[in-house]
Amino acid sequence: MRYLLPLCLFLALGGFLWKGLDVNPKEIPSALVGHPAPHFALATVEDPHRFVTEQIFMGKVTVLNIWATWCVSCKAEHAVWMDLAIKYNLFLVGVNYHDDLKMAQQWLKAVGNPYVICIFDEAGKLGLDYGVYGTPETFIIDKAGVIRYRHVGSIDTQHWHSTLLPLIASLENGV
Amino acid sequence: MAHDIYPFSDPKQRDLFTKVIHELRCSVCQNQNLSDSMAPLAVDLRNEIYQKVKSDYSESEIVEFVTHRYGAFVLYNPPLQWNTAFLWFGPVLILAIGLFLFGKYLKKNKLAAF
Repeated sequence: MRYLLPLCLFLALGGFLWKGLDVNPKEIPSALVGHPAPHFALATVEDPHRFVTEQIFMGKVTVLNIWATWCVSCKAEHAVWMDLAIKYNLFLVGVNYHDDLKMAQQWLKAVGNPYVICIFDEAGKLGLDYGVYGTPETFIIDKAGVIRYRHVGSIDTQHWHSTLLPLIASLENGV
Repeated sequence: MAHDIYPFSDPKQRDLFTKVIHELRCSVCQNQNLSDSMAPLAVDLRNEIYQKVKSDYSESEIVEFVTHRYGAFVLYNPPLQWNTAFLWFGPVLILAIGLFLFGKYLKKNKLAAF
């Protein structure tokens, strides 16, 4: 009986520490999941005279990938998108975040452009409205233009198969 | 420090700006607030908040603007919600347990008159 209290304290402390093992403070839940994709009107990297808005998300399941040429892990992730975009015929929209237009164009020309459209967000305005805080970030937006999922950090094929692909497939078939 | 880069003619607006950027957390460098952080995102948010203060937005409107995008996570002064209940009541709970044990200890040692 006299060991009951220390045991309880130990279990409580142990429980918190155990949970702490797999809590990633870098993963902040997006406040925007379940909300319509915020408005923007920005030029594209491919054609700086062409402006697009969030209307491009309508009617199809969009994968929105935020990247920049100064972002090292985006460069690593790029190869994954090159592969996935073709294999799954994705409506993959890029957002070039806080970047230089020339450098972005050169980069896409040099290593290939996996994006159907790549939005040029020089001032980080779209990034701010979408709650972007670390590139690369990936959003999945459904046919009605509602954000369904957000991932911070690189996508690898394992995560793609376990989470993104099933979600995209269910959004394609369903509502 | 921030006052030179963000000039205000109205001292009330300056106070509001200073208060808000001290109470909001930078999501990139999570142990800094928007006032301290030099992360590009913090700079963007400071500029945005500066414009909003200048345009006479209220404190709650500005906080709403930021939490709508970055969630309640960015609040250094967290609201009372189910998932912050332990944060708010935990210390009281622990104090109560401490007092209870202290009381028991006193009784056991016949110092209850104290």
